[in-house]
Amino acid sequence: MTKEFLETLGIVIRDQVIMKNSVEIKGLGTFKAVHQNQKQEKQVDGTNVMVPPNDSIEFVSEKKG
Amino acid sequence: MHLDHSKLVELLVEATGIEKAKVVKHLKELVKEISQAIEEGEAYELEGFGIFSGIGNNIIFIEDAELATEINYKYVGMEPIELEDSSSPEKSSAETVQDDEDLDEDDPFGGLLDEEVSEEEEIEEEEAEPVNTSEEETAEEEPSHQDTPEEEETAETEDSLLSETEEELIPEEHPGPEKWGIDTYKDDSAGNTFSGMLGKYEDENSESVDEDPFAEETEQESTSEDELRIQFDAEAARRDQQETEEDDEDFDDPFKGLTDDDDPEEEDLDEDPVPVITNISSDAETNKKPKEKKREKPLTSAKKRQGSPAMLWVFLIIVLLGGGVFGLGYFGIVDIPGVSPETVSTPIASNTSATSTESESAENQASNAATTQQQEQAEAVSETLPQREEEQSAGTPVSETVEAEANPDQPLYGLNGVPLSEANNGYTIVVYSLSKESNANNQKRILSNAGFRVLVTSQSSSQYGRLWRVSLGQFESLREAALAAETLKKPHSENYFITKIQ
Repeated sequence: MTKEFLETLGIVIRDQVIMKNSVEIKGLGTFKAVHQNQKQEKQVDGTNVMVPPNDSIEFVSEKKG
Repeated sequence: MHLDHSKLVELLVEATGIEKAKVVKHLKELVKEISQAIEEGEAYELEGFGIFSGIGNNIIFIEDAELATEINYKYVGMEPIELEDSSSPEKSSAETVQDDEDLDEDDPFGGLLDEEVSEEEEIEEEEAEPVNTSEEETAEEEPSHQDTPEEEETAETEDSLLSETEEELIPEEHPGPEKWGIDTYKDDSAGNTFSGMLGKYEDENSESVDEDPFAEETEQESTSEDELRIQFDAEAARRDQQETEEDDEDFDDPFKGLTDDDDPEEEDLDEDPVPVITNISSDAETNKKPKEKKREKPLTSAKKRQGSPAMLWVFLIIVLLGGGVFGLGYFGIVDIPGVSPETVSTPIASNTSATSTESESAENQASNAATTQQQEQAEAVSETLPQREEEQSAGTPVSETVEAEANPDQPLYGLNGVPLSEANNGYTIVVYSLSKESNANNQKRILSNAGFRVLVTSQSSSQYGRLWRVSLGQFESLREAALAAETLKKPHSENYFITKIQ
């Protein structure tokens, strides 16, 4: 298991997540994309702010304790 | 789409060029190392990807900041947009400024928000890409735009706001009386300038007209009726000439000045009264010359005092030439940028040609719309790969808005119609962020055929290259844009974001 392999693994998972695909690694879990739409949030001071959209990676572990 | 372990192995084999068995082996080793680290109560970090940690037997993953940035490349440059205070829409501008100042003091994010308001470049960098997201997410998040009570309050006060804005706009449409005053002042001044220059001339002409002593002298000294007739005829001709001079002062003076300058007899001005008398008494024919001299004396003196009538002609020629050139440009005979209608209609022609091509390719594009979206997403991903290591810098947004032929009945703001350059001070709904301009233009054609008001803008970033954002509509406020976005249908309703037009 070389460093290049780990880097390539990260790139492959990243690209699939960007394309909204979920990636499963047997024995570890599944990576999938989570999209949060642009939304309004009310700040503590009472002002409304339109929060930009955001994508993130959600990991679902195969083992759950 | 779900990639199971076997598909992941195939992708890794393609990407690394390693044999499949080795890839499987490497993956097993990786899973084993992560499991061991978590069992030992430690975290396992993949550099540039994230950290695996454990809570009991459960494994949690914390994505690396670099990975999070790369995943959100579509939204590069996006910052939170502060909304108008819907609870108090009737606040004055001074009050809102004070509120902003208070935000700066109290809200740690206030500075960021102010920067957005002041710097449109940062605000413009918001973008979205219509990607199939789970329906649960959209179902949970979309009501946040509509069902908030604050927006309902703004809906109630919207009419009052619109009426206020209309009241503000009405006085601007009427031209003020000062404009007419300026015109009349110009006319008066023009008249004064000419009349002032001609005033001395007129006075002297009037003096020459009132040459009654001269007439009396001629009557007293003339002995024959022929001489009197000749004299009266000469006076009548002179008075007629003076009348014509008074009518056409501006145009007659310069020529007379030129002709008078050529007269060599001007030097004998002081001796004129004497030869007039002698010529009248002696000879009728020779009598005409001194009379003409008398007439010419005040004229030449007046023209000398006028200064340079040639300057007036030069000025008039320049004005006429300028007006002529402007007229030629206005009617399209000569192509003058900003004046000729052809230059204005150039984008119209391009858009009409674009719309013609749209109609031709609409069927094919409509059938391949879904596939092109997927291809564009894949292209965007592939293009970001070689550029991800470059240094990130703030993108320089470049507006690509092209104004097409607009319906005169089309409102300034709205979701449908043709984009108007006057409405670029508002907000728009971004539905695509594409890496290629051609793809963006294709989407623009498709959406334009659907009746949308489509804008294409570019967002450049040293890290992700240039992204082409396709957006729908032009809206005066963020709230109007949000309301219009709710009317969009799939796939645009699933993933969009509102941003300020560049």
